[in-house]
Amino acid sequence: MRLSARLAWRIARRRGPRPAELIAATVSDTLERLGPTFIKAGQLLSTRVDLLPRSVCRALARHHDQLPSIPAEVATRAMPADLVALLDGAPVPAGAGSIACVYRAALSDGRTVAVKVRRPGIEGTVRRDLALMRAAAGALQQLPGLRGAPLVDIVTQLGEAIERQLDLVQEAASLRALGRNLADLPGVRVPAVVDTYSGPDVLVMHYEAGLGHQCGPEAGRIAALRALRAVYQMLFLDGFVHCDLHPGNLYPMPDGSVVIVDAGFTRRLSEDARRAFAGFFYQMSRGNGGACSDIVMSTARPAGRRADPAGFRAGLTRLVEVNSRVAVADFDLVTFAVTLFRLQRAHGYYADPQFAFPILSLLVLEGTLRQLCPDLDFQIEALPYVLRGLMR
Amino acid sequence: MTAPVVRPRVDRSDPLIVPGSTHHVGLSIRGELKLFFADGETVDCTDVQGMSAVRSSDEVTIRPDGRPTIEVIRLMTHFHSNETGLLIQQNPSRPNLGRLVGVEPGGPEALLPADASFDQYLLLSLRGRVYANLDPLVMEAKGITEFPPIGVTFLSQSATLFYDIEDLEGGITAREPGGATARLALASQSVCGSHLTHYIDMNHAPVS
Repeated sequence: MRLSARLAWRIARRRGPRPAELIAATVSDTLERLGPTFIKAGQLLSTRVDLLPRSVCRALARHHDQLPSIPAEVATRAMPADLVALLDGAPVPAGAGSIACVYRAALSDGRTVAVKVRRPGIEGTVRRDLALMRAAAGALQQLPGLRGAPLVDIVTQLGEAIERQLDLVQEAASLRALGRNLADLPGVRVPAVVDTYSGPDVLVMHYEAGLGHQCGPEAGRIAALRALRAVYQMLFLDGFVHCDLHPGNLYPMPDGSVVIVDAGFTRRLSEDARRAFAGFFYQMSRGNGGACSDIVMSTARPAGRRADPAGFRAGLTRLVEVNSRVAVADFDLVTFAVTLFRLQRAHGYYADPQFAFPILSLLVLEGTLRQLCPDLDFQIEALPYVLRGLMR
Repeated sequence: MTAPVVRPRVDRSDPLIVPGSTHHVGLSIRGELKLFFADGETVDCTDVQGMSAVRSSDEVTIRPDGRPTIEVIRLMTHFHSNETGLLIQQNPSRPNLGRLVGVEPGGPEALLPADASFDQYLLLSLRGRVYANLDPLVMEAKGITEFPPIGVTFLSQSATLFYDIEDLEGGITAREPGGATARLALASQSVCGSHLTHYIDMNHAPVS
């Protein structure tokens, strides 16, 4: 109610910004006031161009959680006693999010570790807020204009993603899986988990020194290429994907290596989804719009009576055929994906998360890597991974 | 003393020589040709060369847009690579069809210049295994002005998956993969093309 009143007031007083920007700014502002669960939900939604207009996603993406760290003495109380006994001085805050904070800690045995500590009481806050969100989504979905919109599904997906970020045991398992899967890729590092001290509230990892240091253009280009290959391996070969590779989670290093951190938002694809995803890109490279449509239609969900399969198929076939004639250097993944998702919405379909998440992870990655290497060719580099993904 | 061989000169830019013709040409792969294997191995094939034969239909048809078109059939394809031992041949169980489409509207006299494309179904032999593609390998050339288009490179724009014929129900006659998984892919990460190097006159010995 407060949100809609504020929105109406802003639109009524509109001078410069367009309604979409006003909506986005207001939503972003409101999320911040509502607290950590909503901030996190906003961050996750900022990547969901399959669900929201791009202007709203952009506005949400501007909003990063810049919360104060938990004081080191409070964080230390959450750490296991055997780790605390090893601390050589107070842990130093290295990053703070809405769910957890990270500290650099020197140990008396000479090691330096990164310690991620869950914010005290956050689990209860998140569960309560998620229950509220689900109830609100269920009520909104009954409104005439929103019937068929999968609001409850969206909130459920967001809820699962947020709850997964609460679970540091799960994150440790994800980090280990990523580290294992990418072990053979030269110049790609995932911090190793220090199992001895890790648990539900605390995740201890080897500390990667030098994250965020400036690297030269050549090192940046090599690091971008390595990061891209790592993600293609995740998507097309391993079927286990880090979905949140924004600049705060992917660090190019001065020696051209790349460090991937924070596996709180990962997604495991089913074998069928992994193959469908690789098959989509293979058929797209062949300009086979019909085959691409078959793949997407087999994964998309119709939104009740609004679903228009023939229109969706025709639109998607045209989109693929037009893009297959585009020179490799001119292919724009973001525009393609956004158009694909817009077509889905326009024809009454919603993307299966198993199909949407890999594309969304690529979109987040593209934004990150373009800053490092503007002429990075996403299509050319994908080819060997797509092909091998189909040969598994 | 023998009299010098005098051959009638053929104007290969004359569109009217296209219908009902058969020709053989020498071929050389230009650009980058790679074989991607399922296990991660990549084989670069840099020395691939060979020959092909093409026959064109007698019949020229006019498309709705007014441009003339003629079907062509690839009679033979042979490529080999001495370095890798790769042998590429045509799959004899399916037709390898192509088409020329005149760039300008008109009758048979407008068959050149033309855009040409072939759908190729091949057998790749390497290391004792034989592989077949089920999706066609499409080779294209734009605006050819002679027939055969000596000096022109037919480009392949996309990757093609190949299956071990031992895995395919029906072997080389299979049309669908069924439960089979592709074992290798023929692809290029830049430009790959089949360049027509020279005309082979099957009726006359080379002039010494």
